[in-house]
Parts: sequence; C-alpha cells; structure tokens
Amino acid sequence: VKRGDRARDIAEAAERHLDDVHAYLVYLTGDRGTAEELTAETFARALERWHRFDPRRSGPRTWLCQLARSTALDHFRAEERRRRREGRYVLAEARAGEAVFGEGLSPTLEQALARLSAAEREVVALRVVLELDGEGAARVLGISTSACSTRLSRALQKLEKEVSAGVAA
Amino acid sequence: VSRLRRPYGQSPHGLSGRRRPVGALELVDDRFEKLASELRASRPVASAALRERVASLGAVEPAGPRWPFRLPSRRIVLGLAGAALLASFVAAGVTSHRRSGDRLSAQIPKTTTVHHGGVPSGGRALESTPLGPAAKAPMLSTLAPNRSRLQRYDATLRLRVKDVDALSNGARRAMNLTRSLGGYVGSVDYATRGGKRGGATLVLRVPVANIQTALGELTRDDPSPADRDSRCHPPRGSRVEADREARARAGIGHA
Repeated sequence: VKRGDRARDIAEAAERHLDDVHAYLVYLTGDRGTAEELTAETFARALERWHRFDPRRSGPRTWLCQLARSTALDHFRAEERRRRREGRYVLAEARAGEAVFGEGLSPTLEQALARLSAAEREVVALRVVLELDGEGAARVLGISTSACSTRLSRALQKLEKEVSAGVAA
Repeated sequence: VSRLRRPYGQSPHGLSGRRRPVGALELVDDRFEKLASELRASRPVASAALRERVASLGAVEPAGPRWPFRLPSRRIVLGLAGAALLASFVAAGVTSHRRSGDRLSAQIPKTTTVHHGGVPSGGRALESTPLGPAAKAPMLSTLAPNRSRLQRYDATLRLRVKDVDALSNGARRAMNLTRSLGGYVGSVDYATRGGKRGGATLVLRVPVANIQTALGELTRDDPSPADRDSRCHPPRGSRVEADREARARAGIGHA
C-alpha cells in the first residue's frame, strides 16, 4: 500500500469512526477529558500501526476499538500505581452533575451508568451504543461471545435496577 | 416453486450450518430496548477540538513502520533459532573433531599398515586388527584398541529384517550380545505399526576391546529365515575421541 493511500485510509477511518472510539472511551473511562486524551492517543497509534490492520480479520471500527482499549488499559496501568481500582478512580474525580455519558441522558441514567464498573460500561458501549455485533464486541474485549452476552445482560439488568431505584427515590 | 416450510423449532441454518453473526441486542431481553434506545440517542459526541486534533494527526504523512520488513511469525523465529542452534552445535562438533584429529594424528605412527575397505583419513593408515570369522566383510571399521590412550569408537549399523518377530529377536539378541561382551544397553527405542511394520533403535555400549567383536556378531548372518535377508551397511567412518568406552549404535528397521 502506498503512503498516500494509507494516509487517505487513515483519514477516512478517523472521520468515520472518531465518534465511535470517543464514545467507547467515554464509557470505559467515565471521564470526558481522559476519553478525549485517549481518543487522540488511539488515533496517533493507529497512524503508526495502520500497516498492521488486516481487513480480513475485522473491520476498521473493531480494530480501532481494540486499539482504544489497549491504549486505555495502558493508561489505567500507569494510574494503577496510585489507585487500586481502575474502574472507579476517574469516577471519583468526575464532577458531580456533569453530563459524562451523553448530552441528553437523564440524571438517573447518568448516575446509574456511573455506578457500573468499567467492564460493564464498556460492554454496554460496544453492544448498545456502537451496536457492534456479539462477535466484534467479544473480539474487542478479548472474551468469548457467550461471555460477552452474559456480561451485557448483567450490565443492563444492573443498569435498569439502578434506574428503577433512582426513579422510585 | 413451492416453498418448504421450516418445522417449528428448527434452526433456519440447519444443524451443520454456519453460525450467523449475532445482531446487536439479539440476546438481550426486549425490556431493555427502551434503555438501549435512550443510550443510543444520547451517545457522546467528539468535540470540535478533538476532531481538529485528530484531523491534524491524519494530515501528517504517516511515518510508516520503523522497520520496513515485517517481522516473521513466532514459529518462523523459533525455527530459525533452532536451526541456528543446531548449526552452532554442528560447527562446534566439526571444529572439535578436527582439533582432536590433529592431536591424534600426531600420535598415530605413520608407518602403520592397512585400513580395511577405504582410504585412510588424512593419508595416514590406521592399524587393522583381525575381526574373526564373523566379520569377514571388509565393511567394518578397523580401528585398533589402544590401551595407551583414551578412545571412543562410534559406529552406526542399520539392519533390515523380515518381520516383527525377527525384529524382536534381533533386538533381544543384540542386547544379550552386548551384555555378554561386558557392555550395557544405553537405550532402546522399539515400535511397531499394526504388527506388520516396525523399527527399533538400540544404543549399545561395549568395552573398547570388544567393539570389533560386537560389530562382527551384530552383522553375522543368522541361520534363521528371519535374518536371512539381513543387510548391513558399513559405518561411514569411525572416530577416535577422548573417551574410554566404545559405543555401537545399531538401528534395526523396516520389518
């Protein structure tokens, strides 16, 4: 592949999937600022590693989500020295009342999402928000398709339970 | 064209059909659909600043891989490493063999006589010893035992026997012979396939004084029908190394 073609491919992939990668990282980190940083880092990595992308194995969106996940995990590992629980440290820093997971989300659903673990939020992001199929989401998460479905089902149950409890309160 | 109706409960893809990809939320209960639609409708959107930042990344000409060649797969790397290791062993063996040969050639008298069935290495004849009636063929190496220095004879012998019974008898006879000559069996690898074909590899260690006798006995024609069509391939060469024991490696194959 020529360099010019590669640059064009990367630019197209960035334009098409930027929102997907960003949304996934917002759900994974629970913090908009961190998600933006990691999104930019993800595309910078994609630029370097585009030659490794094999369209026969997965689509560009799945590949970018995999790259975003590894970028986020590297970030989490670096922060883990300070904080034990990677899924909650950014939530503790998130300002109360700020819309993190979406602009039009109800506060109840926003809080319920914040109470999910990072693993639960990321499966919700991949399967529900990005509408990846089970196989693609499982590939991104590095788990089996059935485990991915189980995790999604539990996350949604937990989410609805939290929403119901919030509405009742 | 009449369309066959699929029986109730049967998979549309058949029992052995390929699994189709699972759609989004297909495995999730319908009661989550409202929740899912709300999440989808209000998904986070990248800010304009982030778009510009990423676009500026894309505007830069990609540097490409630092190393222009793709690294080979792990299997190839392991294979190359193994081959390199083997090559280093072979090179080390050849070097040490040459060195020991140089040392020993200085010790071997140049006036000694005949070497059976071949050209003496390095133009120096090696002393021959009588092999007895069992080893009349000129195929055997004839390095003489020498008590004044440490020696190691390494000989390889390959025999072909008629069937599995002959294989078993031959292996047993080789082991008995080794023990009778004061040696021992280093290892035995015996395997048959379907009771018709098989092979055995024996590593026999015998005292250096009896090496010629052992080789002669191992290649001796047996009167039994099993060994009547035995063939013996002569060892390609014998090495004299700094070791006291002599070792004969006999391979009996293709029953």
